[in-house]
Amino acid sequence: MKRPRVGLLAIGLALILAAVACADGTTPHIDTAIGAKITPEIPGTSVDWPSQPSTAVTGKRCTLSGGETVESGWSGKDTGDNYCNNCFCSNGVLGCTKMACGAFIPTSHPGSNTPAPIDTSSASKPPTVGGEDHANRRVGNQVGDISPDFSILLTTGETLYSSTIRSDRTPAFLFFFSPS
Amino acid sequence: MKDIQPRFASDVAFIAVDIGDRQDLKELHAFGQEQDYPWSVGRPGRETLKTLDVIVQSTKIAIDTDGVIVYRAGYGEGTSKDWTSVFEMLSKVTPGT
Repeated sequence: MKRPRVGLLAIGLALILAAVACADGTTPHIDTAIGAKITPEIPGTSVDWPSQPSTAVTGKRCTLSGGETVESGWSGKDTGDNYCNNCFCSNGVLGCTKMACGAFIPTSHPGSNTPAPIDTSSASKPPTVGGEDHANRRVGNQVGDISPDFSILLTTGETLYSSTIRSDRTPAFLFFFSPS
Repeated sequence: MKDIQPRFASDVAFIAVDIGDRQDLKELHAFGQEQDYPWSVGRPGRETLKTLDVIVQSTKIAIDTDGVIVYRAGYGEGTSKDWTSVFEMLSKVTPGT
């Protein structure tokens, strides 16, 4: 009669030990399995990043005149004393139109803030937008648009950014070629 | 362009941007020297062609000091007279000042 009890106790102990073993040993095993599943996805995710605009990942924020901060790539009206000017944030550099805001109060002079016509025609008619105010322009690729964010890697080792053109106030003529 | 650009070299940054397969900047630099280019040569940064919507070679884009595109022409578009006018406009006008 004692042997079966001892046997039952032994079986019971064995079950308890097995349960403890499952709790301690199986869980890490599951974690490892999950880790093994997640790890291969990381390179895939990093491969997708280059398709994102560079400014979305690394661009520095800009501070508007009113103190607000905006992401690189943002464009719109400035705030504070410079409320009437359109600005563009490019990697920490805020480029804005240069209107004197006090002279252009839309409510008191509704007609004075109308932007000059923008020439959107082709190459045969070089536009004459120089010297006019650049308010109310949008970021785009057409004549009259504020150039979107771009970069050119020069053979000198330097990089020309769209923001450089504005900050250095040096105009640029880009000629895209493909030598055979 | 070689006849026009040197006159405005001090005022306007003219950059020939290689959109071919050449990736090595040293190789591109050597090419520019072989061709006796008087201007800067480079290649587009990441996403630049897409951003500027450049889909064909010989695309020309002029940008003034406020970052505004003042001239754009595609393959076979534009004349020496046009380009001279663009260079003159870019070099003389300093918007916002």
